[in-house]
Amino acid sequence: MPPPSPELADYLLGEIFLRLPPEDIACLLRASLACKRWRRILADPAFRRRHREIHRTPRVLGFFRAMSKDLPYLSRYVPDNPASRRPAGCDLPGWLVLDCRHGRALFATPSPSLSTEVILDFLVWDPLTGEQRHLPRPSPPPTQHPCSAPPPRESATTVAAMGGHSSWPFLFTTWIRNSGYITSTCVYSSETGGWNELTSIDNPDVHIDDQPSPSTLAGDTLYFCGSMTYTFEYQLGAQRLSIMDRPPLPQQYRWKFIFLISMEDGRLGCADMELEPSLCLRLRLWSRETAPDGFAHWSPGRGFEVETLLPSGALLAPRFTRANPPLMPKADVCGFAEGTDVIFVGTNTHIGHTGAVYMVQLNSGKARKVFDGLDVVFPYTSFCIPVIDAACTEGSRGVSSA
Amino acid sequence: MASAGSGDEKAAAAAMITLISSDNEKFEVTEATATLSQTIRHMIEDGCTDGGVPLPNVTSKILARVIEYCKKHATAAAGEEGSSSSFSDAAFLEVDRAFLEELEEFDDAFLEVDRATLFDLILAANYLDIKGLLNLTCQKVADSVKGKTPEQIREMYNIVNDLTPEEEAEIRRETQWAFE
Repeated sequence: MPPPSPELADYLLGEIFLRLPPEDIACLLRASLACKRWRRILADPAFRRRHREIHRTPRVLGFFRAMSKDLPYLSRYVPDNPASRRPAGCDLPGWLVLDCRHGRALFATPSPSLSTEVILDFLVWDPLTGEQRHLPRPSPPPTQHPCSAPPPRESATTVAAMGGHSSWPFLFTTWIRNSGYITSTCVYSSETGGWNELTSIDNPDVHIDDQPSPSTLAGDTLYFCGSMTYTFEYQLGAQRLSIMDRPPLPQQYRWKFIFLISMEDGRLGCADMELEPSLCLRLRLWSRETAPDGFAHWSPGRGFEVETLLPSGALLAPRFTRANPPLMPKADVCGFAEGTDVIFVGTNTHIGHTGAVYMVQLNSGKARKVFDGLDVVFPYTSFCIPVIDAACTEGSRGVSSA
Repeated sequence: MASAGSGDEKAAAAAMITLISSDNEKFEVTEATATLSQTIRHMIEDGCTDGGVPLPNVTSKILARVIEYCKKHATAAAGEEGSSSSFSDAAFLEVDRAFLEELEEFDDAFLEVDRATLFDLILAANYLDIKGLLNLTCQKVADSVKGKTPEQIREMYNIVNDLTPEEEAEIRRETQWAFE
């Protein structure tokens, strides 16, 4: 029997709990079962706020990617550490990954139906707990035209995102009616278990990009790539949908896919590749800035030479052959882990050379190849702190208001 | 008067503070050692250390350990300042690394205490506001909880399980994956 330990104040027990490994959230959950007092401290909002402040930078634990974007769908989770058991690497046959945020990933699959229209069902999966939640179908139900075909009139494209700040995030879905492009959004609330009213925007020229690509959450606003040089923004709090300009890119990139990111300070940014006249390929970060007069504009920020960023030999040297035009080094941004400095860069394919996707830590310059080929990745990061319900220890359960 | 500056430094280096434990034992320490404690630093700044600093919350046994920690870490801080001017960068880095390793070894050995002493050290570090010591001791407890089941944690820290079996069963059911 160990000697009795002196009593530590709640504040000091909190100091100890703050030092439990943040990436091992099972550890916090087990500690929360020691006794009522420990459980109460771990559930305390002040403690949870401090935990989030201290462990602000999440760790990239792995990523999702779509192995098959045509039916039948297949998505895969790849852990950063191959020996990781929780979550362990696995395949999700039948489901197409759409987004991943705050510890949960979102998937879609066509609902079994005799209709020619493809109606989508959605699934939210927590890879850590294995919990799966099938979402109810909103009205009107989200539909999808085959990815490869050009959108026929009156059809729709749906993209979706995980968003929100609560422990059970919202689902964000966008419909595009092709009759003059009406883009609508609808938000699922995990708290009410239902969908809100449609918010729509009518712009004949702009529609959503129908290639599956991750959304970006900056502050309280979700961003989606739109067609051409536009981006959709949806303010979760105000439930307001609007369209904004992308950065002013050089003419040769006007139509090119760019990658929206969230900056360290929570502002919106984007990442792009620039080929300089010296044929040096540079990764450029841009940030969205608001001038004192309230006018927002894009401002170029840090640049990284791609050749030094990636392992040697990853990027092909420019080749001048009789072919016209000459072969230039090419790379694309394929993913970005929000709240971190981790970016996924894919090298493009030349004839006889398959590209590969590299996971790059911009600040440390560390990079490693994660797979051959070129595809968008949805990073999965450690998510703050597990939900610990102190209600049962206090003798009363919270009553949710209608 | 050219020696005035160095004379002051000498005076500062020699300045001694008397710390008085709860069981009335007196400890003479240098100001550099004592000021690792923010609490004592403020008392020195306010000029209320004449006649000794009574520490009614700290026993002589614990105070002796705390002073041992402060002495080592105060030397470390002084060593870093001194060596940066007298070594080339490479040599400085070499010395720096060796010193940090030595300090880590010291900290590891310092933490080889029973749990009651460890908790007393946490209380003293908190009361005296010694950030490094508080971090070190809290981390030690956190490390001991890592990878343990709730039963093992209770046994280790003499915790009485006051959750009802129903409550515990419900929580375990909801978060079963954490206990596999």
